[in-house]
Amino acid sequence: MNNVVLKCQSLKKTYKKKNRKLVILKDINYEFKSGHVYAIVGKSGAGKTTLINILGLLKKQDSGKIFILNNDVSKINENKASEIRNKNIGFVFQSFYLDPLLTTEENIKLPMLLNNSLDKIKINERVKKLLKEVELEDRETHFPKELSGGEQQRVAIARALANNPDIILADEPTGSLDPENEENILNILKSLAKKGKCIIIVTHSKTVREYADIVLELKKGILEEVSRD
Amino acid sequence: MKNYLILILKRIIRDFKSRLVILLIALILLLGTIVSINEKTTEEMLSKETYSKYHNRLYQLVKKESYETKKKDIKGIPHIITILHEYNIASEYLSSEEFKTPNTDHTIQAYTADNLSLPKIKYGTNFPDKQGFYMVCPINMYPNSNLSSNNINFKITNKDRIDMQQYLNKTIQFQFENVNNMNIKKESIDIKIVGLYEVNKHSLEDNTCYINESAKKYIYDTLNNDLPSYIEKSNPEAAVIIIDDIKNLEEVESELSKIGYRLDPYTIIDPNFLIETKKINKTYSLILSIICVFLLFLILFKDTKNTLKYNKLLKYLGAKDNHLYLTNLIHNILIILLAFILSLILSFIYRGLLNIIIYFRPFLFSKNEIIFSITYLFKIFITIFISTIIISILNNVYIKYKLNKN
Repeated sequence: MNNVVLKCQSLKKTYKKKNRKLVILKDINYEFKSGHVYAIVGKSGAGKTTLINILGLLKKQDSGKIFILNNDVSKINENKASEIRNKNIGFVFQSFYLDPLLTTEENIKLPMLLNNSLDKIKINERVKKLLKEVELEDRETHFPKELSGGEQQRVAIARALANNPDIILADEPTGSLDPENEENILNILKSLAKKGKCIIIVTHSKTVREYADIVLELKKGILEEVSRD
Repeated sequence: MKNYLILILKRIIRDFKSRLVILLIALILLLGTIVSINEKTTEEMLSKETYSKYHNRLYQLVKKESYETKKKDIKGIPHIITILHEYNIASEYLSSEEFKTPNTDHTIQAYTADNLSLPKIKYGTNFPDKQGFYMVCPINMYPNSNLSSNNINFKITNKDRIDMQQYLNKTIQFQFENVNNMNIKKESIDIKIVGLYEVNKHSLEDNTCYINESAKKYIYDTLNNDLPSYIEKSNPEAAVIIIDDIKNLEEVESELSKIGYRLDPYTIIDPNFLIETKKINKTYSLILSIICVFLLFLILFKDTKNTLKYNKLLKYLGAKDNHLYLTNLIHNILIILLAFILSLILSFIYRGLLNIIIYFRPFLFSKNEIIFSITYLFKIFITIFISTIIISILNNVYIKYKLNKN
């Protein structure tokens, strides 16, 4: 607990738009620890999604370093990045991003099948455990369209946890939910943090700020801790 | 990997668009079947029922030369299995008390043949060199003068069949009728049955026996006993050839034309008909393949938005680039395979229905059945399969570009 699982050092990212250089991330330095819920806030266009994509190894920074579990992953190739994403990082999105053609159970299985290291029995055991964790045991064979928004997000969380990652990156996970479901999802994320996960949430929501252990504001390309209020 | 493949398969089956694509391609392939049925059925019927029959592989050799000269001229030309004098061609109706059964007139049709033009002997031997009257018959003979192929309700009953093995190497007395000035006189001939052959299920030769030239000469001389010798009685030039297979006709004609001979078929069926249907089929195959490839191209590229979305999700979940491209490729190949399987099922159903509608025959297997070419379907499938791989690779390059751009 409280180990540094994700560290960024002098991260920089700029975009070119019509011969204009747009600095999105100027100098990001931060250490994310296990057992915490982090809320990253900031105005629209501040670069929150860019930051989360870089932290999730989906985008390359222009300069600076990223460490995941003390390993420098700044210059790894695409295949290695995919491997780390599969094993160490789980993603949760505002629009849930579930495969509409797969059932709850199959959606959760997907990252494990891509991992290709678990056998069928272990995969099924893991799915059952995760369904219990998000209280969706009775929704195993349901398709996303047969589930409510809150239920879909719980499936997405279960899927993010499939390979037991250390880090969960959530981009506006409660953005499409009503207050009751928002609270449910945040409780689940909070309980995951208590179990040692590092939860990083990009959000605009006031409730999320209140739930987070640490609130970070991305302003003018700099990430700073701010008060929860 | 196996579980992942099952998941891809499930996605395809559950996706309405994919199901539509499969159905569309299967229907296009079914169109191929419908086209091939025309050719294949004709080809089978002509080759098995008509062309394979002895007297339909006969061609009159036309040139003002004597029968003997003609015989010498064409010696060595491939695919000509024998040359006969024209008078041999007419069949004789021979009846025998030995072959009496409840529903038949115990009569067989006897054609003249030599050892080269005889069907393959299953029991016994070919005609012996020793002078005598010899005959080769079907193993299970149906002794009736009429085997009507036009009557669809006509059925050869097994109880009227004769197992000819009991007569092998036995001499049977046959009767034939000599009609002279409206007087019918019964004549007879003793012929030894030396060999038995198996009748092809399509050939309708269950009453057909073959006799040697000596036997034919005896019957001919008896029927025309007012004339001195059989060879002088007929046209001294008239000769016919028998070729091994109708498919080799063109080659034989070309060889003969080099030495100044022309062929007139005895059969009324024009083999050019078959060639024409083949030409039509080739054109259809080309059109079908182009339509399928064009359709695939449209479908795969039009669906890029969804593929891109799904690939993006897989990337979030940790799929490697190669994994993504392989997934897309397998997805497309599975669609084609499913379409092929569906088209096969539809083709069999279509054929079965045609069999019922046209012939009132059992669903899948029957005499005079409708036939379609699986090879033909397979050729179109291979074209589509290769195109799918090429299009998928192109599609993957495009998706890779889009993913990196995002």
